[in-house]
Amino acid sequence: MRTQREETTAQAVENRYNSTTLGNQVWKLKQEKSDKEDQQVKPCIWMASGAVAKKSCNNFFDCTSCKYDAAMEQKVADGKQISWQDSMRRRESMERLCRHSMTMRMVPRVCAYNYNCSSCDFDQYLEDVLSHRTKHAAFAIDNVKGFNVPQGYYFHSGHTWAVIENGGHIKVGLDDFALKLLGKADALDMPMIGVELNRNMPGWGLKRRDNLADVLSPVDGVIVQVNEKARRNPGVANSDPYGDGWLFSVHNSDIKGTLKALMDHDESMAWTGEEVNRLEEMIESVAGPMATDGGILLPDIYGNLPGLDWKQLTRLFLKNS
Amino acid sequence: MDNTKGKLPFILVSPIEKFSIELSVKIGDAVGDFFGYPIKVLPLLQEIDFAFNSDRDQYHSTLILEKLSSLAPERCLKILAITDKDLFIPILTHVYGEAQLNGIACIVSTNRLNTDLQLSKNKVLERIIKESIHELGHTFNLRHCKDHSCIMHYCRSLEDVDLKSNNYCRYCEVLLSDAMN
Ligand SMILES: [Zn+2]
Ligand SMILES: [Zn+2]
Repeated sequence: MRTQREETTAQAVENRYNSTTLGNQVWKLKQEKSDKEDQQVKPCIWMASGAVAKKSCNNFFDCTSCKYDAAMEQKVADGKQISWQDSMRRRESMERLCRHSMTMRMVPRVCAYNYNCSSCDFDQYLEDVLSHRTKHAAFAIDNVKGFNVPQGYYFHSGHTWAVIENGGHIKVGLDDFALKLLGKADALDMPMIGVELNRNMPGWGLKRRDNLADVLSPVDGVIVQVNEKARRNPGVANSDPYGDGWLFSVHNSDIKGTLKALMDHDESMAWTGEEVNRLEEMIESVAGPMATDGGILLPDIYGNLPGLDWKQLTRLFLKNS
Repeated sequence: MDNTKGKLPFILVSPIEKFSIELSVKIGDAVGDFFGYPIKVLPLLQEIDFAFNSDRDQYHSTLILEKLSSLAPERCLKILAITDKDLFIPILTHVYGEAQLNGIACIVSTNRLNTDLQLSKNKVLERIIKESIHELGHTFNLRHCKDHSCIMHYCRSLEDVDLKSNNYCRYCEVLLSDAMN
């Protein structure tokens, strides 16, 4: 019985070994590079339509808050530029992709409304209801001393995360560390849609036995969606903290500023490592010095080590005092 | 193998259940060279069912250590038990080994050290010896060391184990010689 992690570690070591001894390191590098290129090519809707030659999206496919889009619309109004809609109208009707497919929110779908989005029921439906539900693309996960830290997610020091969804909403949740530390909550006290979250302020709460803990919101924003599945069954967060276990979707028009205030991937990795060290010190202060080697902390550390103090744990790690 | 004639204290290497005596002798040779104590190889425990946890399908190492320390023969300085069973303590997924800090008994499991059939026997033996020296270090009251290359560094994975050296850092070396005198 071996853990997943050890197998991947062994695999990684073996891959490295193979790539040096078999001399196929060049092949590996190429592979990595092309993966990266794929990630970087995010054609702006103006480029995808053929209206401009080259422009990649840097606004999370949220055209409504995009300065480039606004400037281009102005050019169109001044008669200096063909609109992306007109550019698409030059295509055969079956090749006229819906703008939501072009911005990667949707599987390819043909526009039946001649790009008059304001008269499209589907567009209204998508904007109002679907946008914050569209799945975040598959993500790679790094592991720091037994705790998962996904790439592309931004971390807050109160052990919460934020990630940008295509369309510009921000999804938030609790991180793997907090969920493994505190175990499965008996209840999540989640606010309703329309409530405003404030960064660094208690945004929601969790309950375990008779213990309560406030959780600080990692971002400012208005809640546009609550994960009902997680509300009904908090264990969903423990089993998939960065996927199905998300908690809210919020709207905030200043996405770049929001992200800047959080930790990027490298910072999140380093910080998680330090938090694990702090936790181990705390465990040793309760259980005595560890005289073992090997292994990682089992989920539900609070439940597995009766001497740990809930208040002290949540104050230190959720920063909620 | 018994080079413990005379009155010197010795380190007892104790294979558990059917663990190979031949491999135990090899581990004993390495450990004896390292610490400079005579070695005796002697099975103390024929079975460890009392430490089995059926929910986890693993053996609780702390219980085995308690039992071993009650069985220590005269002049036995430290007991190093070796098993191929998978060990755990409650807060961790598994352990490669556990020791009684500043106590008499420690145990090492080979269960997770031999992960790959293509690994050479020497590589596996090297890991077992590293873990044995690490756990014996704990019985000499050494705590975990922040130095990644020190043998007292706490390793979560085999990658970490392979990265650390088979020696104490200068700091731990001093603590060890203090403890041994
Ligand atoms: Zn140790
Ligand atoms: Zn050291």
